[in-house]
Amino acid sequence: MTPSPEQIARWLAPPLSPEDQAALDSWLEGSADNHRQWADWNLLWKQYGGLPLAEPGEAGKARAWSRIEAEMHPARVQRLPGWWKVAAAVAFLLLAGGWWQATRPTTWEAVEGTTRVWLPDSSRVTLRKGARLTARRDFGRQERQVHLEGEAFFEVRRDTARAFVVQLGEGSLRVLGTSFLVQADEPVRAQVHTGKVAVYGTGSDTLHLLPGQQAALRGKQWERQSGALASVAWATGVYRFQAVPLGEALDDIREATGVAISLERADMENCLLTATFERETPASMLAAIGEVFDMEISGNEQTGFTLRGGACASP
Amino acid sequence: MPSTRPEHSFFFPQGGEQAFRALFDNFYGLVFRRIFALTRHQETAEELAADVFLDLWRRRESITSPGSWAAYLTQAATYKAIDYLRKKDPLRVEADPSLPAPQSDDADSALMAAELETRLLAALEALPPQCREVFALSRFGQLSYREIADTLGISQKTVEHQIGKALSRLRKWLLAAGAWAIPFFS
Repeated sequence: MTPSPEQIARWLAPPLSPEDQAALDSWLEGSADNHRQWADWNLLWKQYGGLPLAEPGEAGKARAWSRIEAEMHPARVQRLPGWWKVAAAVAFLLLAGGWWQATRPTTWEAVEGTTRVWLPDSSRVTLRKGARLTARRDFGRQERQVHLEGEAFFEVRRDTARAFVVQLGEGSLRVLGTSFLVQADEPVRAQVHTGKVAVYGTGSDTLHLLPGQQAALRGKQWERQSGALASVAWATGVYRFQAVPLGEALDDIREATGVAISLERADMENCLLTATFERETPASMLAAIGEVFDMEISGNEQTGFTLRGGACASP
Repeated sequence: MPSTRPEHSFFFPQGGEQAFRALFDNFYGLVFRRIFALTRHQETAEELAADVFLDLWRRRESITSPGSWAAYLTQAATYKAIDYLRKKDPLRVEADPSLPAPQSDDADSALMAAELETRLLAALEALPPQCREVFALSRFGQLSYREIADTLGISQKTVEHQIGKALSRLRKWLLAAGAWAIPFFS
Protein backbone atom coordinates (compact mmCIF):
# COMPACT_ATOMS: atom_id res chain seq x y z
CA MET A 1 0.00 0.00 0.00
CA THR A 2 1.17 3.52 -0.76
CA PRO A 3 -0.27 6.24 1.45
CA SER A 4 -2.28 8.96 -0.27
CA PRO A 5 -0.99 12.55 -0.09
CA GLU A 6 -3.93 13.39 2.19
CA GLN A 7 -2.90 10.61 4.57
CA ILE A 8 0.69 11.82 4.72
CA ALA A 9 -0.53 15.33 5.50
CA ARG A 10 -2.85 14.15 8.28
CA TRP A 11 -0.19 11.86 9.79
CA LEU A 12 2.08 14.87 10.22
CA ALA A 13 -0.52 17.01 11.96
CA PRO A 14 -1.48 15.46 15.31
CA PRO A 15 -3.81 14.54 16.87
CA LEU A 16 -4.43 11.56 14.59
CA SER A 17 -7.84 9.94 14.29
CA PRO A 18 -7.90 6.23 15.29
CA GLU A 19 -8.25 5.29 11.59
CA ASP A 20 -5.23 7.37 10.56
CA GLN A 21 -3.18 5.99 13.45
CA ALA A 22 -4.05 2.41 12.50
CA ALA A 23 -3.22 3.05 8.84
CA LEU A 24 0.13 4.62 9.81
CA ASP A 25 1.03 1.74 12.14
CA SER A 26 0.25 -0.92 9.57
CA TRP A 27 2.09 0.96 6.83
CA LEU A 28 5.17 1.31 9.04
CA GLU A 29 5.12 -2.44 9.72
CA GLY A 30 5.23 -3.01 5.96
CA SER A 31 8.93 -2.44 5.30
CA ALA A 32 12.13 -0.78 6.46
CA ASP A 33 11.86 1.49 3.44
CA ASN A 34 8.53 2.79 4.72
CA HIS A 35 10.24 3.61 8.00
CA ARG A 36 12.92 5.53 6.18
CA GLN A 37 10.37 7.52 4.19
CA TRP A 38 8.43 8.35 7.33
CA ALA A 39 11.62 9.54 9.07
CA ASP A 40 12.49 11.70 6.03
CA TRP A 41 9.04 13.32 5.91
CA ASN A 42 9.18 14.09 9.61
CA LEU A 43 12.64 15.58 9.30
CA LEU A 44 11.63 17.70 6.30
CA TRP A 45 8.53 18.85 8.15
CA LYS A 46 10.70 19.95 11.06
CA GLN A 47 13.45 21.49 8.95
CA TYR A 48 11.09 23.64 6.91
CA GLY A 49 9.29 24.69 10.07
CA GLY A 50 12.58 25.62 11.75
CA LEU A 51 14.13 27.86 9.11
CA PRO A 52 15.42 31.00 10.86
CA LEU A 53 13.19 34.06 10.94
CA ALA A 54 14.26 37.70 10.84
CA GLU A 55 13.45 40.36 13.40
CA PRO A 56 12.02 43.65 12.10
CA GLY A 57 14.85 45.84 13.43
CA GLU A 58 14.42 49.44 14.39
CA ALA A 59 16.08 50.93 11.34
CA GLY A 60 13.73 48.92 9.14
CA LYS A 61 10.76 50.03 11.16
CA ALA A 62 11.82 53.66 10.87
CA ARG A 63 12.22 53.25 7.10
CA ALA A 64 8.77 51.72 6.81
CA TRP A 65 7.26 54.57 8.82
CA SER A 66 9.00 57.23 6.71
CA ARG A 67 7.45 55.67 3.61
CA ILE A 68 4.02 55.66 5.20
CA GLU A 69 4.39 59.19 6.48
CA ALA A 70 5.45 60.46 3.07
CA GLU A 71 2.09 59.32 1.76
CA MET A 72 0.11 60.58 4.73
CA HIS A 73 1.50 64.09 4.23
CA PRO A 74 2.20 64.39 0.50
CA ALA A 75 3.83 67.55 -0.83
CA ARG A 76 1.23 69.69 -2.56
CA VAL A 77 1.53 69.73 -6.29
CA GLN A 78 -0.90 71.94 -8.15
CA ARG A 79 -1.16 72.98 -11.72
CA LEU A 80 -0.83 76.71 -12.37
CA PRO A 81 -3.42 78.28 -14.69
CA GLY A 82 -1.99 79.55 -17.98
CA TRP A 83 -2.60 83.27 -17.60
CA TRP A 84 0.10 84.93 -15.61
CA LYS A 85 -1.84 87.40 -13.44
CA VAL A 86 -3.75 84.66 -11.79
CA ALA A 87 -0.56 82.63 -11.71
CA ALA A 88 1.19 85.24 -9.61
CA ALA A 89 -1.61 85.32 -7.07
CA VAL A 90 -1.81 81.54 -6.96
CA ALA A 91 1.96 81.25 -6.63
CA PHE A 92 1.83 83.44 -3.53
CA LEU A 93 -0.93 81.35 -2.03
CA LEU A 94 0.91 78.16 -2.87
CA LEU A 95 4.10 79.40 -1.28
CA ALA A 96 2.25 80.34 1.87
CA GLY A 97 0.42 77.04 1.84
CA GLY A 98 3.61 75.11 1.22
CA TRP A 99 5.32 76.84 4.11
CA TRP A 100 2.41 76.04 6.35
CA GLN A 101 2.47 72.42 5.22
CA ALA A 102 6.21 72.15 5.82
CA THR A 103 6.17 73.66 9.27
CA ARG A 104 2.97 72.17 10.56
CA PRO A 105 4.04 70.32 13.68
CA THR A 106 3.33 66.71 14.47
CA THR A 107 2.34 65.98 18.05
CA TRP A 108 2.33 62.66 19.80
CA GLU A 109 0.60 62.21 23.10
CA ALA A 110 0.70 59.21 25.42
CA VAL A 111 -2.96 59.12 26.27
CA GLU A 112 -3.48 55.51 27.31
CA GLY A 113 -0.11 54.56 28.71
CA THR A 114 3.55 54.33 27.77
CA THR A 115 3.86 55.11 24.06
CA ARG A 116 6.81 54.73 21.78
CA VAL A 117 7.54 57.22 19.04
CA TRP A 118 10.01 56.78 16.18
CA LEU A 119 11.19 60.05 14.73
CA PRO A 120 12.14 60.31 11.05
CA ASP A 121 15.87 60.09 11.93
CA SER A 122 15.06 56.75 13.67
CA SER A 123 15.65 58.19 17.11
CA ARG A 124 13.29 56.63 19.58
CA VAL A 125 11.34 58.44 22.27
CA THR A 126 9.36 56.58 24.91
CA LEU A 127 6.63 58.82 26.31
CA ARG A 128 5.25 58.21 29.74
CA LYS A 129 1.50 58.43 30.18
CA GLY A 130 0.38 62.04 29.83
CA ALA A 131 3.52 63.22 28.00
CA ARG A 132 3.36 65.21 24.73
CA LEU A 133 6.10 65.45 22.16
CA THR A 134 5.99 67.88 19.25
CA ALA A 135 8.23 67.91 16.20
CA ARG A 136 8.08 70.37 13.32
CA ARG A 137 7.39 68.97 9.89
CA ASP A 138 10.86 70.07 8.75
CA PHE A 139 12.36 68.16 11.68
CA GLY A 140 15.94 67.36 10.96
CA ARG A 141 16.59 69.66 8.04
CA GLN A 142 19.19 71.51 10.10
CA GLU A 143 18.59 70.59 13.69
CA ARG A 144 16.43 67.86 15.09
CA GLN A 145 14.18 69.98 17.30
CA VAL A 146 11.40 68.68 19.50
CA HIS A 147 9.35 70.13 22.31
CA LEU A 148 8.44 68.04 25.35
CA GLU A 149 5.83 68.23 28.06
CA GLY A 150 5.79 65.47 30.67
CA GLU A 151 8.28 62.65 31.04
CA ALA A 152 10.13 60.86 28.25
CA PHE A 153 13.13 58.63 27.70
CA PHE A 154 15.14 59.55 24.60
CA GLU A 155 17.38 57.24 22.60
CA VAL A 156 18.86 59.54 20.02
CA ARG A 157 20.46 58.27 16.84
CA ARG A 158 23.96 59.68 16.48
CA ASP A 159 24.26 62.38 13.81
CA THR A 160 27.13 64.81 14.28
CA ALA A 161 25.85 67.07 11.49
CA ARG A 162 22.45 67.68 13.05
CA ALA A 163 22.17 68.22 16.78
CA PHE A 164 19.13 66.88 18.58
CA VAL A 165 17.52 69.60 20.71
CA VAL A 166 14.80 69.19 23.32
CA GLN A 167 12.99 72.45 24.10
CA LEU A 168 11.75 72.76 27.67
CA GLY A 169 10.17 76.13 28.47
CA GLU A 170 13.06 78.16 29.90
CA GLY A 171 15.77 75.69 29.03
CA SER A 172 16.87 73.19 26.47
CA LEU A 173 19.07 70.14 25.98
CA ARG A 174 21.38 69.51 23.11
CA VAL A 175 22.93 66.20 22.11
CA LEU A 176 24.39 64.44 19.10
CA GLY A 177 23.48 60.88 19.98
CA THR A 178 22.87 59.39 23.40
CA SER A 179 20.16 58.20 25.75
CA PHE A 180 18.68 60.25 28.55
CA LEU A 181 15.58 60.80 30.63
CA VAL A 182 13.75 64.13 30.79
CA GLN A 183 11.01 64.98 33.25
CA ALA A 184 9.55 68.21 31.93
CA ASP A 185 7.51 68.83 35.05
CA GLU A 186 8.12 71.32 37.83
CA PRO A 187 11.09 71.36 38.19
CA VAL A 188 12.40 70.12 34.86
CA ARG A 189 14.97 67.35 35.38
CA ALA A 190 17.33 65.52 33.09
CA GLN A 191 19.49 62.45 33.69
CA VAL A 192 21.94 60.87 31.30
CA HIS A 193 22.31 57.16 30.59
CA THR A 194 24.80 57.01 27.75
CA GLY A 195 26.84 59.64 25.89
CA LYS A 196 27.04 63.29 26.79
CA VAL A 197 24.26 65.86 27.09
CA ALA A 198 24.64 69.64 27.11
CA VAL A 199 21.91 71.54 28.99
CA TYR A 200 21.20 75.23 28.45
CA GLY A 201 19.03 77.64 30.41
CA THR A 202 18.16 81.13 29.23
CA GLY A 203 19.96 82.53 32.29
CA SER A 204 22.92 80.23 32.79
CA ASP A 205 26.06 78.75 31.36
CA THR A 206 26.02 75.42 29.63
CA LEU A 207 26.35 72.34 31.80
CA HIS A 208 27.69 69.08 30.41
CA LEU A 209 26.24 65.92 31.88
CA LEU A 210 27.87 62.50 31.66
CA PRO A 211 26.31 59.06 32.18
CA GLY A 212 24.85 58.75 35.68
CA GLN A 213 24.72 62.53 36.16
CA GLN A 214 21.59 64.63 36.51
CA ALA A 215 20.52 68.25 36.63
CA ALA A 216 17.39 70.23 37.44
CA LEU A 217 16.20 73.53 35.96
CA ARG A 218 15.66 76.07 38.76
CA GLY A 219 14.06 79.15 37.28
CA LYS A 220 16.27 79.79 34.28
CA GLN A 221 19.37 77.96 35.51
CA TRP A 222 20.40 74.34 35.38
CA GLU A 223 21.89 72.95 38.62
CA ARG A 224 23.65 69.66 39.11
CA GLN A 225 21.82 67.20 41.32
CA SER A 226 23.04 64.28 43.38
CA GLY A 227 21.18 61.29 44.72
CA ALA A 228 19.60 58.22 43.23
CA LEU A 229 18.64 58.31 39.56
CA ALA A 230 14.99 57.96 38.67
CA SER A 231 14.07 54.52 37.36
CA VAL A 232 13.67 54.25 33.60
CA ALA A 233 12.40 50.68 33.71
CA TRP A 234 8.97 51.91 32.49
CA ALA A 235 10.67 52.96 29.23
CA THR A 236 13.32 50.31 28.73
CA GLY A 237 11.74 47.28 30.40
CA VAL A 238 15.10 46.69 32.09
CA TYR A 239 15.22 46.50 35.88
CA ARG A 240 18.48 46.34 37.81
CA PHE A 241 17.93 45.81 41.50
CA GLN A 242 21.12 45.95 43.60
CA ALA A 243 20.24 45.12 47.20
CA VAL A 244 17.01 47.12 46.90
CA PRO A 245 14.32 46.67 49.58
CA LEU A 246 11.59 44.44 48.15
CA GLY A 247 8.95 47.12 48.84
CA GLU A 248 10.75 49.60 46.58
CA ALA A 249 11.37 47.03 43.86
CA LEU A 250 7.67 46.15 43.79
CA ASP A 251 6.81 49.87 43.61
CA ASP A 252 9.01 50.11 40.52
CA ILE A 253 7.35 47.14 38.87
CA ARG A 254 3.88 48.38 39.79
CA GLU A 255 4.56 51.81 38.43
CA ALA A 256 6.17 50.61 35.22
CA THR A 257 3.66 47.92 34.33
CA GLY A 258 0.48 49.30 35.85
CA VAL A 259 -0.19 45.90 37.41
CA ALA A 260 -1.49 45.70 41.00
CA ILE A 261 0.77 43.73 43.35
CA SER A 262 0.06 43.17 47.02
CA LEU A 263 2.43 41.83 49.61
CA GLU A 264 0.67 39.83 52.28
CA ARG A 265 3.38 40.14 54.92
CA ALA A 266 4.39 43.76 55.45
CA ASP A 267 7.70 42.78 57.09
CA MET A 268 8.85 41.26 53.77
CA GLU A 269 9.13 44.81 52.38
CA ASN A 270 12.58 45.23 53.88
CA CYS A 271 14.11 42.07 52.46
CA LEU A 272 16.89 43.05 50.07
CA LEU A 273 16.51 42.02 46.44
CA THR A 274 19.32 41.70 43.92
CA ALA A 275 18.08 40.81 40.46
CA THR A 276 18.12 41.92 36.84
CA PHE A 277 15.11 41.61 34.57
CA GLU A 278 15.18 42.45 30.90
CA ARG A 279 11.83 42.88 29.17
CA GLU A 280 10.07 40.18 31.14
CA THR A 281 6.38 39.95 31.92
CA PRO A 282 5.20 40.92 35.41
CA ALA A 283 4.29 37.25 36.00
CA SER A 284 7.77 35.98 35.25
CA MET A 285 9.47 38.71 37.31
CA LEU A 286 7.23 37.93 40.28
CA ALA A 287 7.81 34.20 39.85
CA ALA A 288 11.56 34.82 40.09
CA ILE A 289 11.12 37.03 43.15
CA GLY A 290 8.92 34.33 44.68
CA GLU A 291 11.74 31.83 44.18
CA VAL A 292 14.25 34.07 45.92
CA PHE A 293 12.12 34.75 49.00
CA ASP A 294 10.18 31.51 49.06
CA MET A 295 6.83 33.21 48.47
CA GLU A 296 3.67 31.93 46.85
CA ILE A 297 2.35 33.97 43.93
CA SER A 298 -1.26 34.02 42.83
CA GLY A 299 -3.34 36.11 40.47
CA ASN A 300 -2.77 37.50 36.98
CA GLU A 301 -2.24 40.80 35.17
CA GLN A 302 -5.94 41.63 35.07
CA THR A 303 -6.83 40.86 38.69
CA GLY A 304 -3.45 41.79 40.17
CA PHE A 305 -0.94 39.55 41.93
CA THR A 306 -0.67 38.58 45.60
CA LEU A 307 2.58 37.46 47.21
CA ARG A 308 2.14 35.26 50.28
CA GLY A 309 4.44 33.99 53.02
CA GLY A 310 8.19 34.05 52.53
CA ALA A 311 11.41 34.71 54.37
CA CYS A 312 14.38 36.98 53.60
CA ALA A 313 16.92 34.82 51.84
CA SER A 314 19.88 37.01 52.71
CA PRO A 315 20.52 38.84 55.99
CA MET B 1 5.02 48.07 27.74
CA PRO B 2 3.53 48.58 24.30
CA SER B 3 3.14 44.88 23.54
CA THR B 4 0.98 44.28 26.57
CA ARG B 5 -1.34 47.21 25.97
CA PRO B 6 -4.92 46.07 25.78
CA GLU B 7 -6.16 46.05 22.22
CA HIS B 8 -9.17 48.20 22.84
CA SER B 9 -6.85 51.16 23.26
CA PHE B 10 -6.32 51.31 19.47
CA PHE B 11 -9.04 53.69 18.41
CA PHE B 12 -8.31 53.56 14.72
CA PRO B 13 -9.86 54.75 12.47
CA GLN B 14 -11.74 57.16 14.79
CA GLY B 15 -8.56 58.30 16.55
CA GLY B 16 -6.97 59.45 13.30
CA GLU B 17 -3.27 59.90 12.84
CA GLN B 18 -2.18 59.33 16.42
CA ALA B 19 -4.19 56.15 16.76
CA PHE B 20 -2.75 55.00 13.45
CA ARG B 21 0.77 55.63 14.69
CA ALA B 22 0.06 53.65 17.86
CA LEU B 23 -1.29 50.82 15.74
CA PHE B 24 1.84 50.86 13.59
CA ASP B 25 4.17 50.97 16.60
CA ASN B 26 2.52 48.00 18.20
CA PHE B 27 1.85 45.77 15.23
CA TYR B 28 4.62 46.49 12.75
CA GLY B 29 6.68 43.62 14.19
CA LEU B 30 3.80 41.18 13.93
CA VAL B 31 3.11 42.13 10.30
CA PHE B 32 6.80 42.09 9.36
CA ARG B 33 7.41 38.64 10.90
CA ARG B 34 4.45 37.10 9.14
CA ILE B 35 5.44 38.51 5.76
CA PHE B 36 9.08 37.56 6.25
CA ALA B 37 8.06 34.01 7.13
CA LEU B 38 6.31 33.74 3.79
CA THR B 39 8.67 35.72 1.54
CA ARG B 40 11.92 35.00 3.41
CA HIS B 41 13.40 38.28 2.25
CA GLN B 42 14.11 41.15 4.62
CA GLU B 43 13.72 44.13 2.28
CA THR B 44 10.64 42.71 0.63
CA ALA B 45 9.10 42.10 4.04
CA GLU B 46 9.83 45.68 5.11
CA GLU B 47 8.28 47.06 1.96
CA LEU B 48 5.19 44.88 2.06
CA ALA B 49 4.69 45.54 5.79
CA ALA B 50 4.64 49.28 5.05
CA ASP B 51 2.12 48.55 2.26
CA VAL B 52 -0.19 46.74 4.68
CA PHE B 53 -0.31 49.84 6.90
CA LEU B 54 -0.64 52.19 3.93
CA ASP B 55 -3.65 50.22 2.69
CA LEU B 56 -5.17 50.67 6.11
CA TRP B 57 -4.51 54.42 6.06
CA ARG B 58 -5.95 54.80 2.55
CA ARG B 59 -9.10 52.99 3.56
CA ARG B 60 -9.52 54.79 6.89
CA GLU B 61 -12.79 56.40 5.79
CA SER B 62 -14.43 53.11 4.92
CA ILE B 63 -13.21 50.62 7.53
CA THR B 64 -14.44 49.98 11.03
CA SER B 65 -12.30 48.86 13.92
CA PRO B 66 -12.18 45.05 13.89
CA GLY B 67 -12.65 42.91 16.99
CA SER B 68 -8.96 42.15 17.09
CA TRP B 69 -6.34 44.23 15.31
CA ALA B 70 -3.78 41.47 15.79
CA ALA B 71 -5.96 38.94 13.95
CA TYR B 72 -6.96 41.47 11.30
CA LEU B 73 -3.38 42.52 10.56
CA THR B 74 -2.05 38.96 10.60
CA GLN B 75 -4.56 38.11 7.90
CA ALA B 76 -3.83 41.26 5.92
CA ALA B 77 -0.11 40.44 6.09
CA THR B 78 -0.75 36.89 4.89
CA TYR B 79 -2.78 38.08 1.91
CA LYS B 80 -0.17 40.71 1.06
CA ALA B 81 2.58 38.08 1.04
CA ILE B 82 0.55 35.57 -1.01
CA ASP B 83 -0.31 38.28 -3.49
CA TYR B 84 3.34 39.17 -3.82
CA LEU B 85 4.45 35.55 -4.23
CA ARG B 86 1.84 34.95 -6.92
CA LYS B 87 3.06 37.88 -8.96
CA LYS B 88 6.71 37.31 -8.24
CA ASP B 89 7.31 33.77 -9.35
CA PRO B 90 9.50 31.85 -8.56
CA LEU B 91 10.42 32.36 -4.92
CA ARG B 92 13.53 34.29 -4.17
CA VAL B 93 16.16 31.91 -2.96
CA GLU B 94 19.33 33.98 -2.99
CA ALA B 95 20.95 34.35 0.41
CA ASP B 96 19.83 37.54 2.10
CA PRO B 97 23.01 39.32 3.23
CA SER B 98 21.15 41.46 5.75
CA LEU B 99 20.16 38.46 7.81
CA PRO B 100 22.14 37.63 10.91
CA ALA B 101 24.21 34.51 10.54
CA PRO B 102 22.56 31.49 12.12
CA GLN B 103 23.53 31.18 15.76
CA SER B 104 26.12 28.55 16.33
CA ASP B 105 29.35 28.15 18.28
CA ASP B 106 30.85 26.54 15.27
CA ALA B 107 31.37 28.31 11.95
CA ASP B 108 31.22 24.99 10.09
CA SER B 109 27.82 24.06 11.35
CA ALA B 110 26.58 27.62 10.69
CA LEU B 111 27.72 27.25 7.11
CA MET B 112 26.05 23.88 6.89
CA ALA B 113 22.81 25.33 8.24
CA ALA B 114 22.95 28.14 5.67
CA GLU B 115 23.64 25.65 2.90
CA LEU B 116 20.81 23.46 4.04
CA GLU B 117 18.48 26.46 4.04
CA THR B 118 19.45 27.32 0.45
CA ARG B 119 18.82 23.72 -0.63
CA LEU B 120 15.50 23.46 1.14
CA LEU B 121 14.34 26.68 -0.52
CA ALA B 122 15.61 25.57 -3.92
CA ALA B 123 13.63 22.32 -3.58
CA LEU B 124 10.57 24.35 -2.62
CA GLU B 125 11.00 26.44 -5.75
CA ALA B 126 10.76 23.31 -7.87
CA LEU B 127 7.19 22.64 -6.64
CA PRO B 128 4.09 23.64 -8.62
CA PRO B 129 2.79 27.07 -7.47
CA GLN B 130 -0.29 26.03 -5.49
CA CYS B 131 1.59 23.21 -3.84
CA ARG B 132 4.35 25.60 -2.79
CA GLU B 133 1.92 28.21 -1.51
CA VAL B 134 0.04 25.75 0.68
CA PHE B 135 3.24 24.23 2.01
CA ALA B 136 4.75 27.66 2.81
CA LEU B 137 1.61 28.77 4.65
CA SER B 138 1.77 25.63 6.75
CA ARG B 139 5.47 25.56 7.51
CA PHE B 140 6.47 29.24 7.50
CA GLY B 141 3.14 30.83 8.33
CA GLN B 142 2.32 28.25 11.03
CA LEU B 143 -1.27 28.01 9.84
CA SER B 144 -3.39 24.91 10.42
CA TYR B 145 -4.84 23.06 7.41
CA ARG B 146 -8.24 24.55 8.24
CA GLU B 147 -6.81 28.10 8.35
CA ILE B 148 -4.99 27.60 5.04
CA ALA B 149 -8.21 26.36 3.44
CA ASP B 150 -10.08 29.43 4.70
CA THR B 151 -7.33 31.82 3.67
CA LEU B 152 -7.08 30.49 0.12
CA GLY B 153 -10.77 29.65 -0.28
CA ILE B 154 -10.12 25.97 -1.07
CA SER B 155 -11.24 22.80 0.70
CA GLN B 156 -9.32 21.25 3.55
CA LYS B 157 -9.03 18.10 1.49
CA THR B 158 -7.21 20.03 -1.25
CA VAL B 159 -4.87 21.49 1.37
CA GLU B 160 -4.05 18.01 2.67
CA HIS B 161 -3.54 16.75 -0.85
CA GLN B 162 -1.09 19.56 -1.66
CA ILE B 163 0.83 19.11 1.60
CA GLY B 164 1.25 15.38 1.07
CA LYS B 165 2.25 15.92 -2.54
CA ALA B 166 4.74 18.60 -1.50
CA LEU B 167 6.43 16.30 1.01
CA SER B 168 6.81 13.35 -1.38
CA ARG B 169 8.19 15.63 -4.07
CA LEU B 170 10.51 17.56 -1.80
CA ARG B 171 11.96 14.31 -0.48
CA LYS B 172 12.49 12.90 -3.94
CA TRP B 173 13.97 16.14 -5.25
CA LEU B 174 16.41 16.51 -2.36
CA LEU B 175 17.48 12.86 -2.43
CA ALA B 176 17.92 12.89 -6.21
CA ALA B 177 19.99 16.08 -6.02
CA GLY B 178 22.14 14.42 -3.36
CA ALA B 179 21.49 17.64 -1.52
CA TRP B 180 19.99 16.34 1.63
CA ALA B 181 21.06 13.86 4.23
CA ILE B 182 19.58 13.00 7.58
CA PRO B 183 22.64 13.89 9.71
CA PHE B 184 22.34 17.57 8.79
CA PHE B 185 20.05 18.87 11.48
CA SER B 186 19.01 15.88 13.52
